[in-house]
Amino acid sequence: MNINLHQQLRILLSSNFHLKPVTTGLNCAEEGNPVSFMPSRTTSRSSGTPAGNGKGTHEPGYYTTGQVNVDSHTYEWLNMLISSMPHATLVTDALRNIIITNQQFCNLFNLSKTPQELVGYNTVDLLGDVSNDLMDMMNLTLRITELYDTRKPADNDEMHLRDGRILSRGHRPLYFRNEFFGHLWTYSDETERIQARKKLNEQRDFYENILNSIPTEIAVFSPDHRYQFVNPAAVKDAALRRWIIGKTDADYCVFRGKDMAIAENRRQHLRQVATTGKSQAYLEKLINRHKEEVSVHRTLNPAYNQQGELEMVIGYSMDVTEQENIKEQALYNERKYKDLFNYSQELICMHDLQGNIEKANPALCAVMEMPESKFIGKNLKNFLPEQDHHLLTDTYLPTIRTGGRAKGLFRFNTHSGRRIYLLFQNYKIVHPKGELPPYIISFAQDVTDRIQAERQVKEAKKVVEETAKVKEKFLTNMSHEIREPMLRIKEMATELINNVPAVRQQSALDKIFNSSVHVLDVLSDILDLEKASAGDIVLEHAGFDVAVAIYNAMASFREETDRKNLRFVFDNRLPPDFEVIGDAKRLAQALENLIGNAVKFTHEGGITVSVQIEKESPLDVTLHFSIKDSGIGIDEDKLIQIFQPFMQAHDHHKKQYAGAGLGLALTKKLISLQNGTIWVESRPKKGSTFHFNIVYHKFSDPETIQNDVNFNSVINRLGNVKVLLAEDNEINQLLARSVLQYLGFESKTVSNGQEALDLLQLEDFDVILMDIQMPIKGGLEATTEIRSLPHPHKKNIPIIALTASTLKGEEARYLAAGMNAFIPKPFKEQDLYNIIEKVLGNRQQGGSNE
Amino acid sequence: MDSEKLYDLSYMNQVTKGNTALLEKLCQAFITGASQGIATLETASEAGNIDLVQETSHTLKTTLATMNVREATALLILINKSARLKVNTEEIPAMVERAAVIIRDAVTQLKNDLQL
Repeated sequence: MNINLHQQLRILLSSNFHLKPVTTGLNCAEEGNPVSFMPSRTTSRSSGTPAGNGKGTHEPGYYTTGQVNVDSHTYEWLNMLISSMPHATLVTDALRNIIITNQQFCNLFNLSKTPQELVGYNTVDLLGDVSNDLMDMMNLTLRITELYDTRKPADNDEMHLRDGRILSRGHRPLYFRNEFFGHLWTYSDETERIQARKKLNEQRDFYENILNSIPTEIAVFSPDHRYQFVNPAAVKDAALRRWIIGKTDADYCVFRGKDMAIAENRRQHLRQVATTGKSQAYLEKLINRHKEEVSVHRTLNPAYNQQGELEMVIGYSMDVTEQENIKEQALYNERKYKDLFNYSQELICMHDLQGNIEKANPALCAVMEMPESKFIGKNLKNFLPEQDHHLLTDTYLPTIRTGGRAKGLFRFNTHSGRRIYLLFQNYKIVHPKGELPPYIISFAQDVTDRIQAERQVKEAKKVVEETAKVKEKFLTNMSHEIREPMLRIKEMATELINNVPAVRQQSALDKIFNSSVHVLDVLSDILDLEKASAGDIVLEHAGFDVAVAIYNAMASFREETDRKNLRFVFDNRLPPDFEVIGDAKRLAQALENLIGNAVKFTHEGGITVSVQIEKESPLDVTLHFSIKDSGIGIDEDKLIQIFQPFMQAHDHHKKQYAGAGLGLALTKKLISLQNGTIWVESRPKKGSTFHFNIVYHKFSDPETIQNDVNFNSVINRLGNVKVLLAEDNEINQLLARSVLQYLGFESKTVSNGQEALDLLQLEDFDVILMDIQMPIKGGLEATTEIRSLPHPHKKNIPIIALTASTLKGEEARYLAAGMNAFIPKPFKEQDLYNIIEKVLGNRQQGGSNE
Repeated sequence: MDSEKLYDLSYMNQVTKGNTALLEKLCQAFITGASQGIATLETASEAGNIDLVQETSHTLKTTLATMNVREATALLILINKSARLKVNTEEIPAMVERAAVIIRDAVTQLKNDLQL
């Protein structure tokens, strides 16, 4: 509006008005005092009213201001113009006198004077009149003075009134024909507008503050993709932030030297928002200033005006590099585990706690000859042979459910019906937070080939063992067959030698005798080895002095060592009279074999036999024996096989080293039977040392042994007892025989009551162990018949019932049938010994079954 | 499969005293005896031959006791008692069936463990 007024004034003042300079008389027309225009009528400054025709202050005639005169017509016209202005308007001269004003001005400042009355009134006075209504008078005065002095245009100067109103003031200097005429002032009440604007600004500041302080990147775009706003999170640099307003992403990319593909991508998304009217979200990969790749998740939301037109697009972005990295890592890991699962040669499957298959890897599918789809949802049972179903339901599933793991072997039927063996190791997986139900993960290997190979090896082994057994049996039978005639040859040779044969015969007889002794030794070794292999050697448990046993074993070789001029030393490191419980005969046999070898292979130097305590506990003692010689030694490649039967370390040597190759094999067996170990150290031409150790029970007197609950040995105080065992069950026969042998008793076995009666007629026995329930003739029936035999010793023989019965009252039946005692099966050695000792003791005290 | 041992060699070890050949012989005798015994028992049970059930269960229970096959031994005692007293004979087939499972598992375990 000010412009319009200004323009109108310019039109008016540039028209045909006749303005001429006038003298104010107030020193206003001095050189340099700017004047714009002047009506042709002069004004008396002293009166303060327009000078003119003498009709009063309001009467227009002419008006002068400084050097410009305004005629009355012009003045009238001007007055009409200003009066019709919607805003309060005031024209003052250079001396601040009011030339013209309007009613709106008077109203605005609540002036009691009319506009006509104000003409010629000085605004300094007027300012004083209204000073009580104005705020900040000092600055207001200074600003007005400045505008008077500088004559510069001004717009929107605010004036604050005490009643709360805010006025906007405009100022224009007025010139007429390049001469200063006066000052045009306009005032308008802008209270509402300014306050609304202020409020709007405050609101904007409020929201901008929020937008500027949140870490999310926010940008607002115009519909033509130009930036309208960016917050500091989006662009940190304030200068750049200002620069970017009005620019596009393409401008930004050019400016920052970024890849234009970024701008193109963003432009496409913005276009899509504009086209679809829907939000767009996308992930943008960027290289940051540190040359690192960052991931930004951007969202674009359209905003529409009331007319439904797209007004702006609001974009917000978040740096999701970390989340993306985690996600990528998780995807990478998942891919790796999938690869592991898919490419593993191990057979992997997962199933639930009921055995329903959830997943199977390709290796398993290949082995089972079916695709994964054939597995999923099926139960493991479907793939097992029917006879193995109970293993799954009764053993495997309960085991893994409760124990959390299971391993073993399952047989499976493949699609083609092939039988395969899978060795598995399975685990129950339970997620602590229960995010997944528990399941089983199974790792398996196809061991079908191995099983088949093992089976073949086992079968081959069985064949070999059976063949070996046949061979051994043959050898044993042969040995038995040869032994008797050889004994007779030896006896006869002895007899002939003792009968002082002819000298020419002596040598031949000696050879016959020596050969028979040698053959008998070999036969003895063969028989012992067979017995040891068959488990038929039962060791004695008796107290013996170890040093005496060694001394005796050495004694038989002393003649030979003397003859060969060898040192033969016993290095005894045991305490005096050191006794242990064990089998002295089997120790001597082992020692004699080893010493015999040492003597055979040693030609100079000597042989030392040593014994010492290796370790001991309260009940046991481990003794270390060694036989050291300075003989020919053993080649390293032979050391490993010298304990094998029929193997000799010196088979290529002279006849003097000949032998059956059984000694060391038998020695190893004997030592092994006594819970011992044998080993050898040897160097060719330097000699050999054979070591072995045996664990013995420490010797205590019988009273001590009885009181010692941990002591397992049974001391036989009965000497040799001949026992008839009547038992049909093979395992019970074996057990009973083994116990009887251990006790040092002689035994013969039959399988029923009738056989017992038959054998009893032929041989004498000290006691019968009689099973109750046997085929052909039971124990009770046989006992009754035995008690009816005519031979007093046989009819009174003690009979002990071996009973499997658990019924009370059964014992009375046994005793009523004539049995002397009973023992439940399976029995312990001590219990059997005690009961045999008891019945034999009773008999010696005169007990009879008559 | 990592399952409970169905047999116990303590008694056998005590008797054999480290004589592995004898132990093997005893185990083989157990395998043969128990397998034959349970087969006979099953046949007898299926045929309703109570006398044979009684006789076989009597023999079998001592065989099982040597290996300490506890549950099966307890079942065999019950079977033997039922057969001998002719009571609860209708329960014999189920008991025989259960005993057969245990005995065969024990035999399998023993074979695997001792590589027999």
